[in-house]
Amino acid sequence: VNEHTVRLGGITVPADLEAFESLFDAEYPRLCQALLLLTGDRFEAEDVAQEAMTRVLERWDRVRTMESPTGYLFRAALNLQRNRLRGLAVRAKRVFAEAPAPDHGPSVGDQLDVRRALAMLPRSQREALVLVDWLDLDTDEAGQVLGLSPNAVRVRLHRARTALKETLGGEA
Amino acid sequence: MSDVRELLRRGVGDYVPEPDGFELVLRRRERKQRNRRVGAGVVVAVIVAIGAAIFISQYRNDPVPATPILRPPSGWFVFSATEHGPATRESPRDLFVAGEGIAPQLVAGRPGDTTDQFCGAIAPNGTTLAYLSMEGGFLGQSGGVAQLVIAPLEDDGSLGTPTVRREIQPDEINACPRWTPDGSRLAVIDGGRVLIVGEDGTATTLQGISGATDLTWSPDGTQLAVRQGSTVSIVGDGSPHEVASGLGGEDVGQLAWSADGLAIGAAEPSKGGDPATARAFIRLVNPSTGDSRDVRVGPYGWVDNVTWLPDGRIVFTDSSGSVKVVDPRGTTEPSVLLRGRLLGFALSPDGRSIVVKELSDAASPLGGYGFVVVPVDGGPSQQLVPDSWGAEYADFDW
Repeated sequence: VNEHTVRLGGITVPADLEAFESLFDAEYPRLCQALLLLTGDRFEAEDVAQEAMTRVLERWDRVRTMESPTGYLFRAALNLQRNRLRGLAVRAKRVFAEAPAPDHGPSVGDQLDVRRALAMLPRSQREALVLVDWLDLDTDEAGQVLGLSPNAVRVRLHRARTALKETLGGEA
Repeated sequence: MSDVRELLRRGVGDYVPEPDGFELVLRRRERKQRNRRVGAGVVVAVIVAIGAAIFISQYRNDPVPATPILRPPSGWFVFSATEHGPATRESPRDLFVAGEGIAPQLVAGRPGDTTDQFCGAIAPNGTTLAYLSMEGGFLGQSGGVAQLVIAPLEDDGSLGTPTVRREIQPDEINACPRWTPDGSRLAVIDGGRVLIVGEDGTATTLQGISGATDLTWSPDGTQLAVRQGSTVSIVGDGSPHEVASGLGGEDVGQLAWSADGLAIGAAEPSKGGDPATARAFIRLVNPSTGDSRDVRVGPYGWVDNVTWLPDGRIVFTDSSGSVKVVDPRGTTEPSVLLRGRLLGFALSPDGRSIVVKELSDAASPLGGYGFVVVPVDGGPSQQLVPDSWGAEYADFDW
């Protein structure tokens, strides 16, 4: 007999998904932030992150036994992002989006400068940078997610860091 | 590193995702499950209808004879995929063929094994298939050893006994075997060097080339254009000579060579260039004279999958996620053939259609990735491979 807990929105969560919920709570925010850095668009970031989480959930029986469910999640998210789906739902959300919340952190100009600098990096460098410097994967783990050797990740990482610093005028 | 992390933190700002993410994920799963049930219902209805038709046909005076599935008129299409979900080291890809009106058939690998089957390349005669097979590996990882396999592709879509098995070291995901236009040889990247392999398995390594990451044959099959980082060289009987350089680092797109010249998709160099005004370009090179010119076609970002059409136009993808067509002889802007939901495409043997890997609409009964045939000059598209496949990587051939 499955026990269920109920979360907001009237959605029932099977008790055996507590482990998935733990993964979600631990990884979803920083995955969204990583995807924001990759896409420059918070709606697309959340859309991709939710779809990746859904795919993990659909295969949870298999994924939970893997050595690194988080690695699987990141790979699924990156693959989705690479396909750059800009579907109607994402566009619609953007059209009807509320005004952004007041920014109490770094200036909007700073954010845009960094995101623009990231957008100028080749995709492969951008992915390596976000996986290692934002998601704290080591180069072996990033290599597994990207399908690259650790050395290839290090090369891309070095180029990305150098280019980012040069683009931002040595601010870093 | 910490200073870079600080930069990224500034890029993220105070962004935190909306708090209803978990509920939305559960709703997505429920919607998919519901849609699958609907899809399964449709499948059952179709099976019942077919069964009824077969039953009725037994009492007709002109029974319909069974028709064997044979090579489709448009040729086989080959792709590597997992049947469901992203490929992983624990569940790598298998190789499938499909055709217009013919469902995918497994030709190499099996679900649950640990061998990655990828980079299928069909010879121009349509009857030979080359592919790479890596035991315990994944995605042609650098440093891994794969088998280059060449085998006859039978009329029923099955693979015959391999005629060639040879160890190679693939370096890049997109460095798949490339057949000569007459199908007598293929070139494949082996540890950064270029290996030429004949149908009988004889192999020679091109001298003077290292660090190769992509290649394409000349129309007569006597020369190769080879990409090495951000440069492109041509090699024939003599020493390699460089014909293009400074093409935008790692984002140089695929090469294509036809009677109209050598076309190279390229990105703006990662250093410099204003995103507001800079545009990615296709560099056209006259291989005989070395003359070149750039056709600015893309948004800021990259151009890839550059492919010549028989009539001299070029089809390509760019960083907007669209497939576009441009006539490099004119001054008109590229026209959009398909917008924003794909990663790559392959041209049909007759040059009249492309097959596109698309991410299905959220409302699709099955969800996932599929392949769709799109006529180059317009017209209705046709689903070639159902959109339930985990074909996350763009290595496929037609």
